[in-house]
Amino acid sequence: MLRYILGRLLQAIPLLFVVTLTAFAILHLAPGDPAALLYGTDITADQRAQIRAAWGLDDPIPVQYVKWLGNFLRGDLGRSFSDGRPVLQVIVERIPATLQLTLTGLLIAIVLGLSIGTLAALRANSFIGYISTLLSTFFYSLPNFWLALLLILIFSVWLQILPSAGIESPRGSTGIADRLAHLAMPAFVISLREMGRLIRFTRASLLDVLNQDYIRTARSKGLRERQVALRHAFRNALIPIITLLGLSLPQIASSSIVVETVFAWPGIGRLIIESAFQRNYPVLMGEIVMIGLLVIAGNLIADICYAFVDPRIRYGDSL
Amino acid sequence: MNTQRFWFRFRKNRLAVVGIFVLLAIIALAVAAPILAPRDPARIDLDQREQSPSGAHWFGTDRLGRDVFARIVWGAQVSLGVSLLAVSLGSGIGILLGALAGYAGGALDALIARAIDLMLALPTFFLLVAIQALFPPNLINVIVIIGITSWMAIARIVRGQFLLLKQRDFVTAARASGVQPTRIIFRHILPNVSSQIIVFFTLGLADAVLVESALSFLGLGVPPYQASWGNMLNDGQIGILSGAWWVAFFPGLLILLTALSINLVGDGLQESLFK
Repeated sequence: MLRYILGRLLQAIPLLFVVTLTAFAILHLAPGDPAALLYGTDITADQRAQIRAAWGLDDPIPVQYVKWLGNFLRGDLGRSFSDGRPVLQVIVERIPATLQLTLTGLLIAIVLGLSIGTLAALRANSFIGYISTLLSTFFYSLPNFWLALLLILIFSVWLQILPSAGIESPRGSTGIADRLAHLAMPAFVISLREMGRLIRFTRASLLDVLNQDYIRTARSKGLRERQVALRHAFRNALIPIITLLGLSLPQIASSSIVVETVFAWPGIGRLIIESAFQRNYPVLMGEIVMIGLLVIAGNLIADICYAFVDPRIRYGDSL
Repeated sequence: MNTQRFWFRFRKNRLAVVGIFVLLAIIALAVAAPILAPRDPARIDLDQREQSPSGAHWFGTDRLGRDVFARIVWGAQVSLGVSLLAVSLGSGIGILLGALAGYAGGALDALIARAIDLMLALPTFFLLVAIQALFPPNLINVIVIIGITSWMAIARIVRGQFLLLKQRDFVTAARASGVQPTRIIFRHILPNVSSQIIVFFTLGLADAVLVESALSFLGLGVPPYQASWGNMLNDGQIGILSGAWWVAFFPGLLILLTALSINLVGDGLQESLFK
């Protein structure tokens, strides 16, 4: 098992290299001078040249990349152009907010998605099954920024029971209830698209398994339907679902950009827009590395979950 | 499968039929924009700011007094057009790479397969946003950027089909009689994959509508002076807090209806073509 994980990690290294190289090239090919964007007309051309030199922007791009890579390997991601703080610090202080949002969203999506999907499969030809399928397509087609605005309109403007922005009250957090009130709408919005995918996928996966021979065997042994569905079928249906969840992490992270923008949530999603507009290369590169690691971690977690659900993988046969 | 049989099966899926009609209505809206909304969607009328829906302004007006209905109808052209072109580009790339990988096999196939996996694992929207923020917004950029980040699903399905089909007798026969490889790929094998391509094209279109409007909503898509559904939502954000809900409500509703109807049609196609 440990070997399997280590192997996976080793494969990730060239991947990270390719991603950072491509990202670096695109960033530096884009028009716009960070010194000009940050300081505008407040500084003279001479001062701007000094700043550019200090930031190393005058070196040829390949040289800049090698320098960046060298520093990165020594654990130094550089300093933010906008305020001079270490990039690592700038990013790390934004991570908890995004994690809180995305993991809550993912949890809601998993719990509701798996339940509704299972229900849809078990009652495939009934009204409930029909509604669940429609619901899944509906969630999947819903523009999340629009839903976010509607929820703000209903709960913040009309009913005035939930705050429309931020992670806690401006006067400082007044405890868990305040946090949850701020989290409710963004987490719900971010969960819906993944929920839609999960409902559909769980239904399909479970229906597939329910048609297998061993399910017929279990039924003919006289087991109760509930036991057949939950003990025999569900576990096997989980395997493809876990693959989907591995892909869910980047998806839900993507949604976080929009959701964080609408709800003024102080996370990574907003940071990426801010730093791109400022041409804040060190912060952008740091974020790209972080996203790369996130993706690798997501896939790795999915792989480990596989191994737990399916012993054939754990013991290394068949695959 | 012959057309008659296909329609017979497609019609049984009520939701897909409803989807077709809604979609056709939206397309008609876009095409008939000059007739339906002779009012200039960009005309500013500061005396008519944030008027709620009425007989004169069916969907109300925005904070510059522009008619929301006119902007929706004209914006439909932009939103649908951008999505359609982006998906066409993405599908083109996907078909080409998928066919090449599946037909050639070996190292090329391994390389393309890895590229597909890599792109699927990336949070592409992050990249879209970062790249769009770096380059000045224009229509071509939006189309290209959505196109080059949405080819993977089609590439994967086309590759899989090519891997299967290239071992069939009709391909062996074509090869033995000296047909050029490009002709085998495009004339002999590709037509057999057309159902799969149609389904993934349709589902990709729904995604593109959502991605385009999300980018425009963030101010990173269609240039702000052009009416598009995403841009209108961006404008309407401020109105939400002051209670002018109609500015954001109607364009969002149109995005939802479009994505939903396309997805329903896509599901219907999938069911009637493959099951």
